[in-house]
Amino acid sequence: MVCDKKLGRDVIFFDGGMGTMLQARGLKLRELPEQLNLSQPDLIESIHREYLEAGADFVTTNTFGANPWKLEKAGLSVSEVVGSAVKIARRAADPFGGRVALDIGPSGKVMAPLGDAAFEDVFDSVALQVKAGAQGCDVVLLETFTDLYELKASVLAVKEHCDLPIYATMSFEASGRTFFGASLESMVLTLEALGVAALGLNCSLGPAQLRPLVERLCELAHVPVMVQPNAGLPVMRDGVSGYDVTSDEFAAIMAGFAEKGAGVLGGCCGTNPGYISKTVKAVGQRQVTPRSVPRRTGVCSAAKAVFFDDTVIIGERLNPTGKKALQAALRAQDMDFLLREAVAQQEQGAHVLDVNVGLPDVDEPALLKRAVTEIQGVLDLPLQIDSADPVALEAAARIANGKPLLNSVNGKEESLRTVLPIARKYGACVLGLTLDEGGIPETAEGRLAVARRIVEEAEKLGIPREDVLIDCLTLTASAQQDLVRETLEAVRRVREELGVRTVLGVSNVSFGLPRRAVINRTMLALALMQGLDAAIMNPADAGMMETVAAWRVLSGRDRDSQDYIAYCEAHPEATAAPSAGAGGPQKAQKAQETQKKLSETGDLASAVAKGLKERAATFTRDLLESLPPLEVVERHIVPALDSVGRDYEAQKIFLPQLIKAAEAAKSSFEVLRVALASDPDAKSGEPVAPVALATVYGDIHDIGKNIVKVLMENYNFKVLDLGKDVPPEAVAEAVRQNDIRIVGLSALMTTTVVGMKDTIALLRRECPEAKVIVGGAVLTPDMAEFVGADHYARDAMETVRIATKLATEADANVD
Amino acid sequence: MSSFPVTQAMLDDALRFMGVSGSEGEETLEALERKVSQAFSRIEGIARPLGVWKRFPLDVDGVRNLVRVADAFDVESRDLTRLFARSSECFLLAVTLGPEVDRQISLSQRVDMLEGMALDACASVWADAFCDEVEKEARATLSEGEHLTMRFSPGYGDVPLATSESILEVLDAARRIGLSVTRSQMMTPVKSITAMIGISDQKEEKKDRGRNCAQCALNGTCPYRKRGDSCGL
Repeated sequence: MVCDKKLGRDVIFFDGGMGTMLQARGLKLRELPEQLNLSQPDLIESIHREYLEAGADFVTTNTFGANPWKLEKAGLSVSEVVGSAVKIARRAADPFGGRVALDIGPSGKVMAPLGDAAFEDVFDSVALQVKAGAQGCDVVLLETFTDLYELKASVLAVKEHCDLPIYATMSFEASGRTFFGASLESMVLTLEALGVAALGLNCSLGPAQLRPLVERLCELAHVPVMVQPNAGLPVMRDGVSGYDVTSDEFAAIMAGFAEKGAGVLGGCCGTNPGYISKTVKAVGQRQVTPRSVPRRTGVCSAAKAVFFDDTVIIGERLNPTGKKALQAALRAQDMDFLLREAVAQQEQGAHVLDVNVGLPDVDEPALLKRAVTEIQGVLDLPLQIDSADPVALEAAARIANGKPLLNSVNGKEESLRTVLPIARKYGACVLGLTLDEGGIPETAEGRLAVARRIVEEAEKLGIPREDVLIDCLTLTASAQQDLVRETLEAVRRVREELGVRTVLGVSNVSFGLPRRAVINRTMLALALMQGLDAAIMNPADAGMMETVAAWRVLSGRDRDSQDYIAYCEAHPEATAAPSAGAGGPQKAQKAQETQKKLSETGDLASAVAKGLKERAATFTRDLLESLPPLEVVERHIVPALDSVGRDYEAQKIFLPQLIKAAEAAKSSFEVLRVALASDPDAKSGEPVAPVALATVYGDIHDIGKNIVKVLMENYNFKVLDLGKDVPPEAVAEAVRQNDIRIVGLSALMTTTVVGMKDTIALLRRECPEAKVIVGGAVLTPDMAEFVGADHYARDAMETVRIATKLATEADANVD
Repeated sequence: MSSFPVTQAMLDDALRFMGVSGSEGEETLEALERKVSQAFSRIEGIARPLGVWKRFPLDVDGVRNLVRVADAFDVESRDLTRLFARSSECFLLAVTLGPEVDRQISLSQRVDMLEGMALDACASVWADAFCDEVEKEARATLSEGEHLTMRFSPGYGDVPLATSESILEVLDAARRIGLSVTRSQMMTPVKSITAMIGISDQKEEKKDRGRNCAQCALNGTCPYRKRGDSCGL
């Protein structure tokens, strides 16, 4: 009777709430509904049957919360509970010709870095549920997710453990975002690229509140749209909680959704077979209303989608090639440097960030994965994952949130074979370089041919054409002048003949020529005119940014020049300069005056003491003109920090001023680091001693550890920041690998002090040489003794003092 | 729902959480106050405060110092037994400022630590102020002759931190406001509060209403107490 319904062609009906039905039959608060699969299978079966009788084509197994975290607490096993639930659903569905969806809800855990569930933890949990239940089900339903990252991990787990179609829904607030900030655009881009069969909305709101979201979703999604609203919003009636929409009202709105093009309809909290039966009647047995949704090229983070319909700026600065400071930071695993650079590019107007950590002497897959994790943990820009190593690309693509762009594949057999499957499996766009075994073809014709091959190979694998972008490769005008035109021509033809989006890193073009900026921005303008969609560039390059801003006006993208005008208002200095001839010398003179004024207002030491960041950096640059870097440190910064530290200990100043001074010193050190990196004789600039810092396992409050870190870096310690919620084994391994003698551990809560004790016990066994300093809100000298620490530090400054003493003693022993 | 003015008391609390003593020079204090005001504006911009609360039955066993909440979980606590001595019902509530606040605090700590400290302090104050709003909402549903006890959170006095998890479970907070706990009973998002308020037939004596240091679980480890101050709550 229903078996011949086809997803996408016919409107399909799901069941309604299970929890609602169980509560009506006396399920108690905190009682696990999933337990009833074992204790009252007949009850569950009868509920399924009621839904089937109401007209549902699908019943959903009673396994929403059947994940190991929840079941473990009740002493139940996933395989038993899920296995039983599937049998029950099957038993109910088969006589009706009904189908069964294996239900998997969110884990209830928050993923790292906000919470303590790792990507692989979620993956493993879902894998367990799929292995226990896929056999016997017709589809897997991932429902009610609010974190797109968790949903991505879950979809991957399903894909890797069965071949069933995946239906995936998320719960949105009326604002159009989920609790974790996911947008409809990001959900659609990510899930469609991962290959789900249907996607949509459920729970959180009633059908009326969901209406604008459903309508928007029908304009965005190419796959069938699924909707399972609650029975309205929760209300109290005579002391009993319920929902405010009747089954008739519900059904009427659902019929409207079917008109708009929704293809799968059901209910969530508060709905019962009455709601489903009315909905089935109101909608009728009908075909899905056709929708015409344009296919757009887009990448996204969880919160932000970027479409290539408008000119996209891809920030290029997270790439160590030719950047000494970034190379040094990457070797030292200084992720904060990377983050600051990422934030700066975002502020300068980048839409997407390229992330490349390729250095000959690093573990690139691990480092790229770490860099992506860190950046996406705190920033919303979509990422372009950049590596020549497919292993690194895969490691990062797997854990990337949203839909990234992979940089890159090319026309070589080997590259096509290794990179395209990564894009396909992990739901990414891919950037194709127009080169192959024969190198870069000289002619536009030749590059078009390579591009065509890449697009065709991608399509063969199931990667849609719009997810392939092409880089026609810029060559150097000084060496191969005539080939510049070929690149431009190739851009035009790839756009026109293949209909795919194009990307170009233009700055190579000026290599070897004076005033490169002029050549670069002119090349950019020409390429944009040929139809270039995205530039890989430095967003700090005002000339290029202005070219893009002007281009968007002249090409009609920036309606009424609003963005351009806003840009000019935000950058008055560039606007005011009438011409290089008149403005140049005046500007220089003004700069000199400013400089003079600055020098009159103090020196580096007082800038540090007063916590003036920019001034500290400026003074450092000035001093470097006459002093070697180390002398700047010893004669200016160290005395300033010492006096600030003493004032703090004497309670003349307090924590905020101490930190402000530390931040100023840090900006000075950043200038110095660049100077040291380019000074081959600066060996003695090595930091005094390596220190590992960690917030212990179980603890996610790390502000104290971060304060200590800022201060320790000031005192020239080489800080290895292991992060928060760090397992004891990870601390021990880092300490052993880096031969670290000083370890700082922090814990904030009484519940996590045990993590500290375990960590110290392990360090004693495996790294007996390491001295451990502990601190944190919950710590006291007694507690420090209890956990077995060597030293207790009252605050961040004391940690520095103790560590300095330990380092000096260690040096003395060596001497 | 979350729109309320930043009061001087909130500014003072945030400054105190940051470790400002008040004896810094006028110029420094003014600069810090400006910093904190800006931090409050930022928190207001990024917070997506959500709260849930519900009324539940309460059974108090004064002999065994046991409080049975919502017919679903027990809390062993002398403080709660005393506080709820005249209550047979309670409100459980949970509020969160949402994950974006955590993200921004975490980011700013790595870009600019002072900003990170200011955001962290302001978010804590903001969460508490928002919790006051949610409490008002619950209070408005009381019938005549019903009064509220003071608001008590896990971690105060002898109420175990693990109580948070039970409160979140019976409120279905993970699903309704995206708030859950880690394996070591820390709440995520971090800037969140769970609390219990007794519904009593008697108006509370004023003196019992203030939370004091002797009741606090941090007594002895509190950074403010360590230097002879108090957190002011």
